[in-house]
Amino acid sequence: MNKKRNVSELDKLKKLSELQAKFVSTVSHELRTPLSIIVGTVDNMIDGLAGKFTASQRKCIQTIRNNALRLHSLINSLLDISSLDSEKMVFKRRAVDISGFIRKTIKSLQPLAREKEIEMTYESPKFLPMVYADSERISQVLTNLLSNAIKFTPSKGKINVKATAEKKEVGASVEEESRGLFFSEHGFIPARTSVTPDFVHVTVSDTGIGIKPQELEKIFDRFYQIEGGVEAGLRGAGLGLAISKEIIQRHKGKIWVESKYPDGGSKFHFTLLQYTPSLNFYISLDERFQLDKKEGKSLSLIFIETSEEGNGKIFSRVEKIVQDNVRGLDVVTKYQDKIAVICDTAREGALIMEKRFKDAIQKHKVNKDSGSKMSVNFGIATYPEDTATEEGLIRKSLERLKEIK
Amino acid sequence: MVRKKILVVDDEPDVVNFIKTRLEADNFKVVIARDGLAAMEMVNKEKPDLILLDIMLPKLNGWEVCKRLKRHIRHKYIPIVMVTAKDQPIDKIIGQSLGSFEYITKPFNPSELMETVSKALSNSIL
Repeated sequence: MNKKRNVSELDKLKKLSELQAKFVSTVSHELRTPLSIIVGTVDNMIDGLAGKFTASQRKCIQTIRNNALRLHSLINSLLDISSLDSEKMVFKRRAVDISGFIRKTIKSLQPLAREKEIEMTYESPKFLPMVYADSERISQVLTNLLSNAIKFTPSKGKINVKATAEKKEVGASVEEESRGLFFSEHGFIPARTSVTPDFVHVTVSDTGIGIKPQELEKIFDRFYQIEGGVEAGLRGAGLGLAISKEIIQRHKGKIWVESKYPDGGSKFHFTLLQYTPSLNFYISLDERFQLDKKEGKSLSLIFIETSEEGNGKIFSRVEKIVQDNVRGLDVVTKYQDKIAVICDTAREGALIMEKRFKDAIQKHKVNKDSGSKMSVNFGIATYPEDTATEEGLIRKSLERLKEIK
Repeated sequence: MVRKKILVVDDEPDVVNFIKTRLEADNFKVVIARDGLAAMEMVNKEKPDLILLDIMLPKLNGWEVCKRLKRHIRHKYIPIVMVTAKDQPIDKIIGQSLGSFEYITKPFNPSELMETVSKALSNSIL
């Protein structure tokens, strides 16, 4: 009875979120089409395709164009906020060369800075690790921070972007709610089951007037506008920093600001996760887990541990054998000093896999070659039979490895 | 030099108008279709050098038009520029084997349009 009700409520929620998605895409299309027609037509006029203008007519047309573009960026911001709220925004995360896209973003904003004779520079160590991010979204954040900096820095000022690799999270001024937890869209994999993640820390500092202490906390709020900051025509919707904050937080990073008011400039900071093998394991597990959970499928996690006296040759041989014996959709990664197999199957399926691995290892005489001091142990846990969470999957299969010993 | 002929396919007359003005100013000959089926007819009749193809179209959507043209022995080498809105999942569709094409995202500025058009024309084998 209860279950039935839950199902129908779930259906309702599903329908509601589909409706919302449809609404957003309709609004997006219906608002953007007329706007692009306005901009396109005005562009034609400015380029003289509709005949010559007087200077004052040209000025009017330019005003129309600027404000159409402003409306366009406002619509984009509102759509971003809405898709972030409905969790519809899809992040295409992968290993990204952060220096590359910082340079690219700076270059794209260079003309704007030149108009105010502002000097923009970039500083980074020779080697900077890759980050795990959606480069388009992160460059949206950077574009926002830089265009704010340009807006609020007087002419002939300076803007500096700096990126550094850091072992641990840097001292954010705001205590984060997901402290000790990282990498999961819904955030719950505890750091204790892993190594501490490393970060890349990016700062954007300017030589502007700075931000008043009482405004520091509010500037990441939606629709918040700095008091009397810029002239009306340059004012945005007050959504840029709110969107940036969401984007960074969804990447499990942090964003904050420090400022010395007046005339001490502002310094915005954000952090992003470095791309590491352990992170790779979490990513694969998380992606698989979310997908199977949604589709009501089972998921098994198999940890394989090899022990031997001497060097680690056995490990890589077993790893190779495991690689050769998985099915198309199964993922083989490393977790600390173990091989991790993430497979799309219930417990029986996982046991069949285990047997297959064991047989293959036997056949390859891995045991005989290395003498008697070597063993290969398996620990298996299955969702949803054994546990309802990713964390549970990891813990259970680790526990079972220990039981075997 | 012979003027190149471009087929513009879009169901919004005003969109067609400003694109047409721009292309004609750059000495292209422009022909128009308002839906997917009309586009197929126009390709047969006018044999354009390039097609500027919107995706959301009545009767037959842009991807379908693209797919049909790429299957056709006589039409498969006509360069196509797909016109998309910002949120459409272009990456996914590029992966499908529709054959090669350029694409441009609405709203675009005139220089983007002209760049994409000349890139598509220079890539064509004809």
